[in-house]
Amino acid sequence: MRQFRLVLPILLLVFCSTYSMAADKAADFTIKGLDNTPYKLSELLKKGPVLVDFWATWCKPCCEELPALEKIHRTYAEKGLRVIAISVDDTKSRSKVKPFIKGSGWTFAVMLDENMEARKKFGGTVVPFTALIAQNGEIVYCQTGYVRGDEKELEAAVAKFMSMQTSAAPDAESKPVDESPPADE
Amino acid sequence: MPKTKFILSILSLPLTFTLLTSSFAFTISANNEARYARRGLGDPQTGDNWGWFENQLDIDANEKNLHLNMRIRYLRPSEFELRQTDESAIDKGFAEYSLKHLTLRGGDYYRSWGRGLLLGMVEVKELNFDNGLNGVLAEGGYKGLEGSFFWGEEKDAADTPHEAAAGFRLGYRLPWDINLGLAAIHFRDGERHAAFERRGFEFDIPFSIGSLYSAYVYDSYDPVSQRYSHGFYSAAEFYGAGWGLLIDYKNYRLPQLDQLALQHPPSVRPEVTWSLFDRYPHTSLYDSEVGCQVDLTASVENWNFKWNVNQVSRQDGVQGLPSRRDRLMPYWATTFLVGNHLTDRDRWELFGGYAEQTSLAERHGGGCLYEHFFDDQWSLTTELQLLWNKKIPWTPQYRDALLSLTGSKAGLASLTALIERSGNIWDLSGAEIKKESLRKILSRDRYWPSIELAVNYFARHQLRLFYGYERGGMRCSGGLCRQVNPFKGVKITLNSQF
Repeated sequence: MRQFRLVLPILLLVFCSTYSMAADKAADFTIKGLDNTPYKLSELLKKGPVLVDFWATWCKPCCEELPALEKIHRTYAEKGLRVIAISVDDTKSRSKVKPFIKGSGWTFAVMLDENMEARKKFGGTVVPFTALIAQNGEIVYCQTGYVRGDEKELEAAVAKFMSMQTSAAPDAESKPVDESPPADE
Repeated sequence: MPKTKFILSILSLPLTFTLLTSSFAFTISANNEARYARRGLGDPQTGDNWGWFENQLDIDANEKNLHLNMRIRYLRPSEFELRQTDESAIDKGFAEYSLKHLTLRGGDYYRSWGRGLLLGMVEVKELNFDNGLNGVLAEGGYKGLEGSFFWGEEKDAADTPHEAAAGFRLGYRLPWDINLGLAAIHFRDGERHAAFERRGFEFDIPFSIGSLYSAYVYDSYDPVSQRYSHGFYSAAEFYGAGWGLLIDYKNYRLPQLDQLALQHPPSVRPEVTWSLFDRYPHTSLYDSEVGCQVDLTASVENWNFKWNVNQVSRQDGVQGLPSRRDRLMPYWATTFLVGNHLTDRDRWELFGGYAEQTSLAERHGGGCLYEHFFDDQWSLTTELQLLWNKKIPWTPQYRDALLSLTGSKAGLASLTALIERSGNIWDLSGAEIKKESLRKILSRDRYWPSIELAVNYFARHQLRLFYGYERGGMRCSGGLCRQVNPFKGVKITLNSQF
């Protein structure tokens, strides 16, 4: 009986591992912006690809990664990529999010995931976690944790994806971009 | 009851398989974390050497409107739980169905209203803290109006209920983006307290250079403590180009319970500063505490600045501001950080802090961090921290020090060598007690050397190998702190996301 208890999680693990090879789509979620407005991932994806980054004010590696996110936001916002930094700060440090973002001069959109429910939909609760989601909902790149230099890989992955997007739709750059959700400028 | 959970887990397996594989519209994600440790240092309480193995698997299945979650844990025993001999169970799970304006959930949930003051349910796995409920949750919104309702119980691993409550919240967005919220919760009679009601409100008013947030909560009369509990929290946020300022204030006379009844209010002090300084946090006394904090963040070109000052004390009757009188257990602290990118390949940080508690314990210190990038892939980081501890009762003044060196290859691995030293005569965890006499040990400093390798592979899997000594003491995470035992030995942690 005891052995079977051990086997159960392993079976499920293998199942999940196999299944995840077949489908790597981002699950839909709804989160709130700093102004309490709800945003739904599926609605955001209708307007273009999205780069989501889960972070927290108390997480040092997360804060070290944010300048790279800002750089990506400034480079690709006009080409239709939305960069969304989702704070998993809980109620204890929730008040620090807005002054921290403004104080650091970041201009990408910031949202709140106080209960980590959006984060868990990508598997796990580790932060930082970054995922590049194509317009069809497919996760084309993801990164867990952060050490110096990881931002180069992220930038390269975004550049590659965006160039593929541009070549697939040559007129994409000329299309006007809907600015919602608002960047925190 | 554990048997029921076990049978449920067996039944759920074919059901999950059938349900998920029959429809390819489901998106499945999972996270598995396995921890293994072989401990070579005697437990301070029992004196025995022991290790642990625990495994936690979280599975989420999402269809367009349906979300299923299940968590299975195996603990033998656990690093964080009580030392159980053997347990395997589905300990969490929920089913959620979302419509355009309404979401319904049955099972486990965590929610916060009023930044945790009106309602605060959280789980901090690292600290073995979990006050989430199991029951029914309904949330909806239409235009500017939003409403939530919950009913549920908090149970332990043996299915014994500790807390049971039901409540609702109504929120409304007024013109100029002003948000208003009202909440009421009924707590059932239980092992922690008699039945009582909680009511409260919150509002958020944005203005051109910031916003003002406030929340107030009050409870019905408690015949045991013979008082009415109440709490107030307010935060004023100001920001401009390259700067942000937070001024927040708390005034708590919350229920006198070992564990707050579904509350997780803001602590009004920094959660993380630098590791030696964070070893000695202030213990919040939510039943009687008043405090305030000023937190500044600024950045100018390559420079980053952070400064924080916070002060708290117990209340004396109805007191509006924190006091410095010793009998009210005052605490105040200030910390700063200055950082700069010298070149594209170099970065440094200078940080420090001062803390004083009840004019008895006085701590001050600081440190520096330097990081050098050899190329786009390889980097080396070194950090030094020093902390002086004075005026601690029955303890001669002593110094703590920490030195770490980390080499990293981007996207692949990092190797950290760390050594911590303390002159605290009461902290014996870094000494080989069996080999030396106590007198000899007390006469010199203790050391905790360790080495840790972290490897990332396939972007979604992390392996951590730790070997060496780990100093015991206070460990804080997400505003909660707990005392951890010292450790010597090997730890292996594998985290996989699918």
